[in-house]
Amino acid sequence: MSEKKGHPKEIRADIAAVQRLEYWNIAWTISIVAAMGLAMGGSQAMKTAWVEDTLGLVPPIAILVALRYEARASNRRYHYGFDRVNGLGFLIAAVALAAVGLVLLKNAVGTLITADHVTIGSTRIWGHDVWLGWFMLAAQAYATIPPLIIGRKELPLARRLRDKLVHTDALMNKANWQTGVAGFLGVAGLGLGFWWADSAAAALISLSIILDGWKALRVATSELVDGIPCELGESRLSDDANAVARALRKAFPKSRVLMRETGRYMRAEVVGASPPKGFDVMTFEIPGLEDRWRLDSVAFRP
Amino acid sequence: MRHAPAAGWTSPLDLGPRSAFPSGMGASSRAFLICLGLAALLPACGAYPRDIDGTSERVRAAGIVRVGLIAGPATARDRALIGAYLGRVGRAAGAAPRIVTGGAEPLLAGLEADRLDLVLGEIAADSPWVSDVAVIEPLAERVIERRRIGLSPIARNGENRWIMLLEREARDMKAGG
Repeated sequence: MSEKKGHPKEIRADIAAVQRLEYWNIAWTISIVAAMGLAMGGSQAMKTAWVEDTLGLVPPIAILVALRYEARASNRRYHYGFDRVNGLGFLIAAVALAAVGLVLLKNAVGTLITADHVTIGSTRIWGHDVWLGWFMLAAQAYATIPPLIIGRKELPLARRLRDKLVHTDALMNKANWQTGVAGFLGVAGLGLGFWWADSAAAALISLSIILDGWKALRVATSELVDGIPCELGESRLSDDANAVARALRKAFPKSRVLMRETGRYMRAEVVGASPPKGFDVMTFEIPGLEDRWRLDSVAFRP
Repeated sequence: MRHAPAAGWTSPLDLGPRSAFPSGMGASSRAFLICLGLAALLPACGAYPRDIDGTSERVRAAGIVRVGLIAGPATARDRALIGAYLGRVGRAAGAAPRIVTGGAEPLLAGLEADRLDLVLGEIAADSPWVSDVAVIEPLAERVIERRRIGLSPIARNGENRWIMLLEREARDMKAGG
């Protein structure tokens, strides 16, 4: 937990699983970036999808860095530990994601307005001339597989760990197949002679990047401005936090209960009450709180 | 005797949204399979890839390739090379070349405006035209002041089938085929 070294023992196995998964995520994403980079040629949709895939490296790296920092004990400079490192990393990534998405959207819309025609040539392999579009289609098809598998594996871990970063990455991975399909249809449409197909696909992919950035920005800013502990992917108070607030209000009826989220942990503050003698947050009875490890501390402000 | 459908599959007559796929299959898996199916069907569309403005079909139908030859020393020096290439392209496209000669700028502008199907001449690797037209691998090349200048066939962007034909003939000629 935040002021202690390491992660709570209840979640250590899941933390290790997330770390393993994110290393796989990085390896697969690099393979996709390489395949798309080799095949992209002059296709706007391929270039845009390549940028999105490259940016897809940011969340897993942020997750691994954040987990490493989160496990560190508090020190003289950081009394509350490093629970919020993932929020900080994610904020930077979210701004970059949204900005790149806007630039790519501008390029795609510009190409649509000027009606630029995209050339995809051929290469000679073992005496046969092969249209480079086939390599693009194969790369796009390949690029849909790893996000599909990793996104599905991330979701249950994110729920158990209450990890917004992993959850957002899972949603981004889940949305990536749409990107893959859009890019695929763009190149396929270009091969059928539809000049607009490639740029239209690039515009769609750019919108997906902007949406990813916007989602990540909401998650990051909510935590940085001391927002309430929310359900993953929702803006309502989480059931866990609700249980804590209910129990504290019941124990201290004339007080006001404030709650905030730091990383995966919740902190509560009871305003207008003093802590009873011998009050221990670990033994304080909270009906309905399934994951006790989530409650980091309860502070009192008389 | 009627058999129950295999586990995990719905009847093909079931018009529900998942009727053609295993019931446990997610949207992403279906999308992936649809992509693969589409890719498999593309060659069945006949000429694939197609030209955006239909140059290949028009050349074949008219029996004429409208060629712009960029005037310059290369045109005289590489006359045989240019003649051989145009001969190959004409045979492959089933059309005869109709040649006009002129400066690079008006010919390339004519290519962009669909008044020409092919421009042949010297163009630098870093020419500003490179992004506006499809410059095909050169038939011959020389270096002037560290700048590579190729005697290249040039086509209109997006005419992908036509560009493939021009590329194939350039490669075959360089390979001595």
